[in-house]
Amino acid sequence: MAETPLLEVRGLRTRFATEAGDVVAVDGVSFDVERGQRFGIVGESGSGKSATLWSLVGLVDPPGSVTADRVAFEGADMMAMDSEALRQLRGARIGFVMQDPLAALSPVFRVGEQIAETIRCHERVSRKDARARAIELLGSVGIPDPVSRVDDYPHELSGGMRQRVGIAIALSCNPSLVIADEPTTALDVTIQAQVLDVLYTLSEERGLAVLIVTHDLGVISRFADSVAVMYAGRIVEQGSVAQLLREPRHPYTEALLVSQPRLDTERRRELSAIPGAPPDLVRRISGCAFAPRCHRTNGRQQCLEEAPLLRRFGSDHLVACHFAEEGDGIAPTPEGRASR
Amino acid sequence: MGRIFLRRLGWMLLTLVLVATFTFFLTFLLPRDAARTIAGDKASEADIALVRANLGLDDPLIVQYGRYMGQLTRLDFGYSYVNREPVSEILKQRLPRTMALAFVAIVFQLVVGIGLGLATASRAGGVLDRTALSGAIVLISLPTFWLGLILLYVFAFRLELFPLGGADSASAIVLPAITLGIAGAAWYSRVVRQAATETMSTEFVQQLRAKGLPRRTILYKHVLRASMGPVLTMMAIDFGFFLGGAVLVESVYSWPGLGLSSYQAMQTGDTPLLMGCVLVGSAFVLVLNFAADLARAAIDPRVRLG
Repeated sequence: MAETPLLEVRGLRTRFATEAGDVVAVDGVSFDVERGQRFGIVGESGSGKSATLWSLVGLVDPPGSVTADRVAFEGADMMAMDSEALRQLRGARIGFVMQDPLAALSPVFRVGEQIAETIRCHERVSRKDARARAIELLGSVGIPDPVSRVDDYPHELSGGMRQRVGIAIALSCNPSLVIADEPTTALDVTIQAQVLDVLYTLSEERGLAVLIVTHDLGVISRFADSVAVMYAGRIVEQGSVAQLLREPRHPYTEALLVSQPRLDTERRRELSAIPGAPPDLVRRISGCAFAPRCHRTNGRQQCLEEAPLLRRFGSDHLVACHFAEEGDGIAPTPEGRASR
Repeated sequence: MGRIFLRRLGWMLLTLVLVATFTFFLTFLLPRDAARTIAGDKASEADIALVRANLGLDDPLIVQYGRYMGQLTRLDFGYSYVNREPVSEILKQRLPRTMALAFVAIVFQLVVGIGLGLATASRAGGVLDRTALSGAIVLISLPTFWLGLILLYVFAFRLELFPLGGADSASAIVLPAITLGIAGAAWYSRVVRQAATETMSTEFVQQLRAKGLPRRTILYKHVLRASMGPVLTMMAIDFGFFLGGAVLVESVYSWPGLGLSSYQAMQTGDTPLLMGCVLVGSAFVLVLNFAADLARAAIDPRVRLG
């Protein structure tokens, strides 16, 4: 029998009631995160990737509401848990790294205290021991001189250092899963790589699973093992990072790859952008959500009338496109043709 | 730090000099002859003229002003025109009463205001929140003397729970303190609610929830601390005003503090006592304002004193 996944998500659905009608931010998302796996979710703003994360840990407030066929963490049904049981999971078994570390850390408490209070609200630990663990954690996320840094306030640290503190908080109770919501978006490019490396190393060392959300395919290719591409609240393509970046089959994934700036192509090339804008999530269209922007649909009726389901290609490559076979399975180059 | 401290001290002294100057010339405008007050109703015109000459009230205004300011540099407030005691002695007797009243009122204000503010913020839009809003508007708008008389009538006269006035028993402080603090409590509850609601929609509270902190820890540790800034400043100003003597409340309850003194000094034309009360009150407002700035810097490390 196969081992049960660390996190099992089936049919996750998040809607927000607005005056204009219900906004379906997450529309039936299913995926598994295995123990020790680094799983990425990529998509543009409004694709529902962050809403997916917040839904999983029970932090979607009214007017938002979450339903799912099943969400299980370490075998336990999270949908059946009350708010207190979810609170005990958060911070203890599931760590959370936020997008903007300056906004996410309290400005008026020392960083050591912000780590220690996380430990002390989940475990019976003395103040002294919690502080000692905070210092140790600061060291393990690569903050130099943690013994004195532990008494710094967030505004006394650089952006990269702050995000390391954010990671230290997420790791403070030895979770088995860390959820990271655009953890590098607010940072300088050079710092982004360092922070990703810290997270990568810790995940390797501790067998820690990481569920990371980003709009940056560079982050995915650098960091993740598996990836799901989200568009308009649904997963449109999913597979191993190596496979998906090399052999994308969904036209949206292809378009994302082409619109990515690269250092190894000629500089004067204009970046290609995906024409059009993401759909209005209130007036959901009946067919494929990407059809209005898709270069592959060519006005075919099936794209406009029938929402495509995820279909399996190969061992674990899933694609939601009626004409996935028309993707040549070769990453497009900016000039529109295969490079190899 | 030391330089900032000295600079602030200099400003405070300058402000006090200005306050003394303004009050001096304002009290001079009072339609009252101090010499007549001192000499008494039955005194002859000759006696009054003698008193006037003795006190130097015939000197030009600017000379009198210079003399008064000179006294002040030696912390000499002069003698009361009415009972001839040194003003500083009267202030010394009255100040502890006013301090006690101010302290109890400020504590009442803080506890009720912050408690209600946090409670309404954590359930924004709920029944308590809506009731508290209209309640606060009513309480802030009520005239103090009217509220004082009503409380006095109901709780002291009708129910006989508290004495009718004075400061002879410990329970006597309850009604004046509530009267003094209730508008502030209502006002604080709105300010705290506003600040706390803003804080709760920020990312850092979302992070606290993601860390798994219990709701009460988030509210009473983090949201409270982040919302305290505006309250501290208001509290310092209020406390300063209360220490200067709450004229209306002290008069309604015959509370023998600075406020009652100023009121009586105003009625009898006792200029030195009135000036003394005003100067002590102003000094408290200034000092507590500075203290509030220090406290803000202590609570929020990003605040730098300037």
